[in-house]
Amino acid sequence: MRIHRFEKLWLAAAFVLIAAFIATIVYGSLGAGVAMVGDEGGTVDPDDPTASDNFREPGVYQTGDGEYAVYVEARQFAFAPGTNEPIRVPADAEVTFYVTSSDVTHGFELVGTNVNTMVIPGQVAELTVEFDEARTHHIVCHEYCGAAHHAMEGTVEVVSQDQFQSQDVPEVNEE
Amino acid sequence: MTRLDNNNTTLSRRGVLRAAAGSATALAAGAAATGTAAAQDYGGWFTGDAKGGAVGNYDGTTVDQTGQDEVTVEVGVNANGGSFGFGPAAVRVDPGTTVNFEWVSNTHNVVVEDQPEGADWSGDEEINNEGYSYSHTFETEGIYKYYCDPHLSMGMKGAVVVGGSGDGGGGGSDAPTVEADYGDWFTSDADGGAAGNFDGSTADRTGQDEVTVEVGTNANGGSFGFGPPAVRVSPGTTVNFEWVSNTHNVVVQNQPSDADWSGDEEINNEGYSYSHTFDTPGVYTYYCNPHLTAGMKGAIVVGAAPGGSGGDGGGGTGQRAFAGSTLWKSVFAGGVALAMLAPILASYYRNRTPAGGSGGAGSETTDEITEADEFEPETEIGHDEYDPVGTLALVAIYFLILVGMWAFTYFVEFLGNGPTIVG
Amino acid sequence: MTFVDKFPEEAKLVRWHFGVGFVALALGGLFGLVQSLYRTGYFRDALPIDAAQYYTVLTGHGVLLALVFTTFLICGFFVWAITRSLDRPLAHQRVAWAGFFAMLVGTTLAAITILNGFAPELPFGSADVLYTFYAPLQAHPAFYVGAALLVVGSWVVGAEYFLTYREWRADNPGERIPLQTFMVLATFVMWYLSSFGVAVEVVVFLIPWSLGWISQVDPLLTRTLFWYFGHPVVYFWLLPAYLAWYTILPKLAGGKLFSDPLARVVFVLFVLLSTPVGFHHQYTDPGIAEGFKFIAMTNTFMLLLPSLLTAFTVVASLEHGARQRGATGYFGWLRALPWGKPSFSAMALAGLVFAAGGFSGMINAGMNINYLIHNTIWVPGHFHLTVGTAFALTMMGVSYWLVPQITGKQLQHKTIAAAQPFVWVIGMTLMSNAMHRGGLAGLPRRTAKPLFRGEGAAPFDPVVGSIAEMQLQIAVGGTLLFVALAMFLVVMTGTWLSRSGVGQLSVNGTIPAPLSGPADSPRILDNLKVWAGIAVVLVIIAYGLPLYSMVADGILSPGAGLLAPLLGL
Repeated sequence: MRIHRFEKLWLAAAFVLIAAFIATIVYGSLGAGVAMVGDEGGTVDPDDPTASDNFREPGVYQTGDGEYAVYVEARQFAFAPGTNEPIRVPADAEVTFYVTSSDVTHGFELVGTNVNTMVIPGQVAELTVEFDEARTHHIVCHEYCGAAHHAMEGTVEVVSQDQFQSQDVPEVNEE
Repeated sequence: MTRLDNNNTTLSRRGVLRAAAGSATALAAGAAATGTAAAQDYGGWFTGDAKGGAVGNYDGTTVDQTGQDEVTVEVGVNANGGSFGFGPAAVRVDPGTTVNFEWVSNTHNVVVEDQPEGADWSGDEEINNEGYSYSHTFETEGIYKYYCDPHLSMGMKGAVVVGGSGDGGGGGSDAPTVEADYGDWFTSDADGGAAGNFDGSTADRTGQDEVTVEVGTNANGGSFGFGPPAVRVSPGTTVNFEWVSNTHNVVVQNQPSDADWSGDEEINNEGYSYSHTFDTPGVYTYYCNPHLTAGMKGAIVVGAAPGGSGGDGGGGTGQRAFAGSTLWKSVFAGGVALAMLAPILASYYRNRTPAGGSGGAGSETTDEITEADEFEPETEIGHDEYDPVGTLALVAIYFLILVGMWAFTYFVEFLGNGPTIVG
Repeated sequence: MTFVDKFPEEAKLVRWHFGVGFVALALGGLFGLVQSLYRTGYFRDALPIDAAQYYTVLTGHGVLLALVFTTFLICGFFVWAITRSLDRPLAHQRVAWAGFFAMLVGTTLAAITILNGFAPELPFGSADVLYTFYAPLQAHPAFYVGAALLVVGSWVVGAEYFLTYREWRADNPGERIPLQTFMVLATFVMWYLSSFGVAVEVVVFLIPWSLGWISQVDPLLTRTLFWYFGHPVVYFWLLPAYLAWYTILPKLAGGKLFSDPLARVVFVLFVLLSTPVGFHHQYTDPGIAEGFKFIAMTNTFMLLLPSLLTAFTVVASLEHGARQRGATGYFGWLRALPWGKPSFSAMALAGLVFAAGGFSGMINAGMNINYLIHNTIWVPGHFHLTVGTAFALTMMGVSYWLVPQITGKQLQHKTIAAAQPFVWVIGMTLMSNAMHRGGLAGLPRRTAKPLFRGEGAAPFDPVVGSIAEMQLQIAVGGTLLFVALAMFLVVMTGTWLSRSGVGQLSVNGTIPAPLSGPADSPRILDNLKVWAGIAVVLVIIAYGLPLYSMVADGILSPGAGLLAPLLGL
């Protein structure tokens, strides 16, 4: 093949660029510790998510010292909990969200953060987050889910450890 | 299209309809509501102007099931863009009839919105799935309105009319009657957010000389409400607005054409008050400017309620269907206009002077179409004598831009955008 | 000799494809204007839709532009490319017409169900399910049947290209495949491989489900099948634009294609890598293990290679044209290019915009950075640069050049035509930059009213600018795009309605031979069977296990076991 030397140069530059991009992503995973939503959450029966061991009654649970689990059920057009009552979690703790849908596909995003996942009927999205500061985050549903999709939103209230202690949160053992 | 008859319903007209209802044929539940008595007045309940969405499966008719002991209403029939309907949406029964609500799809409940005085229906607020059923015996005459909470915004609303008449309110007065029609003012379709503290009902304060409206009550995610958001007063009533929290004002959004309320646009704090006497009958809507987006909106209706009921905000026809038809029709009309325009356009272009210069409007059509002349380069440059240095410079710049923007987006925007999913 | 004189029947086929595509473009573009105004709140009250119908408009915009307009334009454009480059009429014209009518019927069915959203009182079902039609949101069966017919129709038109090629090969054994024909065939090999996924999704799952024959479908499985097709389809749009940039654009610049061999390499890479990348649309999906997302990511990043090569080859070809016009200097040659010629400026600007879209595409391709922008308005900001400009504006440029040749009519309103690409690019710059920045601030896509009503304070915190300024730019940009679209359609309508054979055309259909021809490349490049075989292997590596696990946990419902729901019927 007859390839101009400039083209060879550019070809090499392109490979460098691709390698650098992939290396950045790997650094994000291994160095910065960003984990992808995967298949760890398991599957549930979309008609009755709580029937499976993979999903509890929606709400906030304490699973260990400084570890909390939040089970969120999304349905047209509300997060339960989240929409009618805010999700209250402590700052500086490991909070794992388990999000599933009992009707159609939804989204779950805390605006202005990297907490962002799809919510698919039959699948449980499992995501662990550490909130550094006590503040309120807004949840939006970012996947079209029906005529009132734009009204689907909620709130996560991150409060300080002290404030949170006074609350009554059921303790459960997660294996 | 008329989906609902509400703005001009009068007592005498309703009497006629009541007589008509008696002769209507009873139909099986869930069947199309043909041949039944129409135009029961639900005060706008089935439109998008009441709380929740417009009810697509309510076509203005009330299915007449009088004369039966047991009547079935299906919960979650196919309607409103999913399985979000009550079937039938509106049904008329005799006093003492048991209505069986049967769930035919998932995640629905039955929440009572409004019922006649003295009635004790509590609905079934637990969310249940297909196969579940629940029944209630309706004794008290009047209109019962209910909805499904998860799908209210889709328009999953229903009504049961017990007895020949569905009207429960008190007597009328000499004052002119004004429908509590707020359009979509309390929804987020209007300016600002939805007023979460407006539940569709208008507080009836008619017959009083002075009425108080609190400014900045706890609502809409903070102290962002008027209390009550909608109030009905008699002409000549003085309304006292009393600030119960900080940084609010009262801005008039709309009022009857001959009214002269100017509101109080200065922003004031707790303890302040302001009053205005409302003489002209009609609907006044207003809001707090700093908190409009939060849904801090209010309305005052001056005049007696039609038929004496001080209840729900009525409204125009179902806005959704109306609006859609307009678009549909204008697209159709546009298509027809275009089709009529086509011959005119065609003759215009056929007689247009060609731009090429050779021949005028009437020039001969040639058998073979000639193309433009092939481009002749000033200098021929072959592969081996050509080094694309300009291209190399451009792609090098592009490379640097890519690297810089990638680094910024990844390390500043993304990794600085915590919290992030770590497990 | 013009194309219409030489191949009158083929020219007619191209005209019909373009005609249907332009009607879809007009309606879809109108929907786009309505959307950009409604969403941003400008004149929202004056618009004849409500919030729920915003999604009808959105569905119509996506389906009519991304599926109907694109597919008709591509199929028509390729009929020209095959016929011209093989220099022979189509082998079995009826096959192509059958495909065209299948696509037309499919389009009509889908369009009726979508438009029904505006008039619920009409007796058709509706289809407010958006362009991605994720189950369990359900549309009327006619919508799915229409979508299936559109895809299958394109397969039938595609078969015509292969049949014609086979006849040519019988007459010309041992010759290298002409470049345009090679590009058409490579594109369709990729298209057959990838659109198979959506065909399975629609025919096996969604149609029986919408008819009530099966009670449910697995949302993750159907959505995975959608994205199996949903990313390659963007290359189905892009490769015809590449065909135009490689073979038409250098000629318009007054130069020659710099390298035919590299063009072939680029298309081979697309055949190989276009399909096993769909998981990059599902980075944030639960139920798919991280490893498969990583495989999709490396494949996606490898696809940067053919696009970066294209950037070099096409720009070098343009520079060649400018140098042949006597231009000198590192950047001075850019001024020597024929920017006043709408066919040239449209395609060249489309390429420039695509370079910008390439950047946001790289961010989309990054696995974990996807959290930042997934389902935000960044994503439509990206694809309006790619399909919305790289494809659409290129096809407008192609039309300025090709429509005179397939009609024998002079291009009308030359001044409007000359300004149109610039109006389009200004509108797109305004709209897209605001969308990208809005996405970084977390503004969601696909929503009638993006600003929610909590707590008074705005929760969106843009890096640069304000949300209100972005909304304004989106509204103004969307309006300018609609103006540019109207300008294009006026030129096309005028040209179409004028008389043929009047005066000399302003275009010339000759395409000069490349600077470095096919003889400089190894013959293996032309062996599409080999590349198709490797592509299938790559697809199996990327998709085999995850698809198997989605099927094995219950083909219609996850968490139920493979056949449990079937037995439960």
